[in-house]
Amino acid sequence: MSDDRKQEPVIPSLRTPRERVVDHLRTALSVGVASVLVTGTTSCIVADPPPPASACLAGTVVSKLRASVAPIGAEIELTLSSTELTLQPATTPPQILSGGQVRSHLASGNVSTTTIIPSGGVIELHVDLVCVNRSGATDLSLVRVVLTPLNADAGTPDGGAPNYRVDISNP
Amino acid sequence: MGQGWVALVGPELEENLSLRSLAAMLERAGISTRIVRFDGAAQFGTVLATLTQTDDPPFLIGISLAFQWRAMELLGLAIALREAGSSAHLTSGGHFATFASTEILSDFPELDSICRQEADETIVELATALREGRAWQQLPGLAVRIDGKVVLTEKRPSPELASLPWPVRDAEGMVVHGRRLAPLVSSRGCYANCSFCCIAAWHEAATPGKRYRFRPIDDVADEMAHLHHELGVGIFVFHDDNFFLPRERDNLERLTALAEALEARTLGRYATVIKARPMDVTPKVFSLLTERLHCVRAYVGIETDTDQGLVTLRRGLRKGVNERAMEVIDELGLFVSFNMLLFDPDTTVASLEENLRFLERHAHHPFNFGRVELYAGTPLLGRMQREGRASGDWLLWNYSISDPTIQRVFEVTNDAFYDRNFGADPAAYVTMALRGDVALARHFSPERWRPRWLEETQSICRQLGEDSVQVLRRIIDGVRGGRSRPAMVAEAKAQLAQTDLEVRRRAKAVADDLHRELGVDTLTSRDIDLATPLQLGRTDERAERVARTRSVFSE
Repeated sequence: MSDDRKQEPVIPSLRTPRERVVDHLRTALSVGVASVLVTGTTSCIVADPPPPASACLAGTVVSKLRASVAPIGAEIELTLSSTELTLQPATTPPQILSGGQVRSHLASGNVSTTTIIPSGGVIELHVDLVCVNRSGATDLSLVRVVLTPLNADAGTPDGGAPNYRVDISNP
Repeated sequence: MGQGWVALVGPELEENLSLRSLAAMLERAGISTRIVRFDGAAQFGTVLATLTQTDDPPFLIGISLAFQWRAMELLGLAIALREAGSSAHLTSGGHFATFASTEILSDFPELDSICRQEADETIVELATALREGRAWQQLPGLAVRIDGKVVLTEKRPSPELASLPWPVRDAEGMVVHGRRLAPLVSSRGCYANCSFCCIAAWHEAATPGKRYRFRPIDDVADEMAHLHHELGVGIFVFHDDNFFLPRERDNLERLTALAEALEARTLGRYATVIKARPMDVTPKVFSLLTERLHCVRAYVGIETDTDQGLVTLRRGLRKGVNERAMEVIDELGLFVSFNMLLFDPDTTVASLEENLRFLERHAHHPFNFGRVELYAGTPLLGRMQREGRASGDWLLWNYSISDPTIQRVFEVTNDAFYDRNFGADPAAYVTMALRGDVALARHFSPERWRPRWLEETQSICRQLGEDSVQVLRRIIDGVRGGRSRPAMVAEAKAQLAQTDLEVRRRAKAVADDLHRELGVDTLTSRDIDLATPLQLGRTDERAERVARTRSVFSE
């Protein structure tokens, strides 16, 4: 049977089908649906309005993240990792903020995004993450990553590989 | 609803024949039934309230799980129903639910059972047993959970189509160009065995050796006459898995009989819409369709036009058949749209370029394209699993194309073309809607029809189609040249967006003209030119319009 399904970007997932369905349900319910429901296996109660994403996990997600930056040709790759959380990109369309097109992909439990190096200035990325802690609690979290070039010519044709200071925060 | 009622939940972008056929069976058995529309996540609240916040909740809720891509929402609904306190028996059915019944029942204890295969009789027996408090776990045709394990009960043969009641209809229905539209089927099953499609496997599993069955012609004609005379239906959309038989002479015989039966029932002016495989499109059959059955539109499943693709997709036809089908279509001036599966597990640069040449030749017709997906129950999924190339899980399978260059081309294409092909108001559907408007206008208002509408529409289709081909070729070149993906995506999206805008403007002009001349509401949105859906603040209306176009004029 074929159908005219939307061809969403497919991202392999480490989470179980049930966990993904629960996440999907919770996301759907948080978008303008006035219901109070406990969503299956997660520790979250989805309410209207929903609780802050980070409230579903002990402590904030931001404090548990590490970031590394690696210029690759005309692009820069940002990798978010954590020793306490398993990270996956949320299956949302790529975010486009300053810096151009971003695409998320899974890399061994971390999340990497790439973006074109702009001709100087700060790059601000908003990254949707699915975070799973050691007890299996799952959460969706949007984090803001600001990359500030440390050398003035960063990203210009003559500037060579830029170095960045990385700041991660809640948007 | 003194003895309780059954809720059947699923999409109703148009009348959902699956649910309405089950509802007809339940009603015939004296069991009150309601269709509960659930088109998308935005309706979660309404659906939950309907099913739980009532003094008279249903005792059985059937959730339609025909399409795998909607499984997240519909399985999520099962969870939400339980969390909201529903104690109804929750069952599911449809193609995906059947093929994934063991996995679904294992992972979702909220569901009590799954009605496998064609559930016309199973749902009635299940509802009757539940209402009477009898055991239901042994009923044929179910997947059930016994002692924590999933058990498939005895297989149930497919029902005789002649014995089934017509699907229930509402007093009001979808209206297009001032005429009510109704979907219907004259058969179930398909003679083909395409690797990406589960229809053949579905029917073969239920009734081995009998993978397609037809309703008696008089029964089909009686239903159409009833819809026409009693409900004012003027456009019949046949949603048969395959409207045709394998041999031309059999098609001529059957369609002639249907034409004669309808002529004897003196229908007024009406139109039909059908789906076909390329090998079904012969001059004799399609002349008969257009002249005596008033076919205004055919979806032709082209899918691929390369030797490689025809083998991988197991299309069962030789190269050249697609081309001949399109020649017949062009000679008849029929509205056709088609889909191309440009990317499959074995696609090469050569085969992709060959398919692009086909698209280029036929760009005056609206078309769309994408990657073949791995759906439950399909031979292609089985193959990819055997080869160790299927990643993911039963809810969503994924794979990489064996040619790394093509895999990269696909990734760039997927990002770049998402808005045009599958977005909120995709240009690919604008051309489809416009071509539909022109075809309906020509059929229903021949005296006021203007040839310029068709000429301009074909020109618009060609502009969009050739632009797609051009961008795809540029992506191929870019990947071969080692360009970065973000750069290629950004460049492609810019060109596509510019062309989309021009296409929308031109389409709006034709739609405005049609509206002025004929006074009908067009399928083509006439507010499509400058603003985004959010800027217009009319997202729902636009989504509805896109959904309507998809349901009428996509496959």
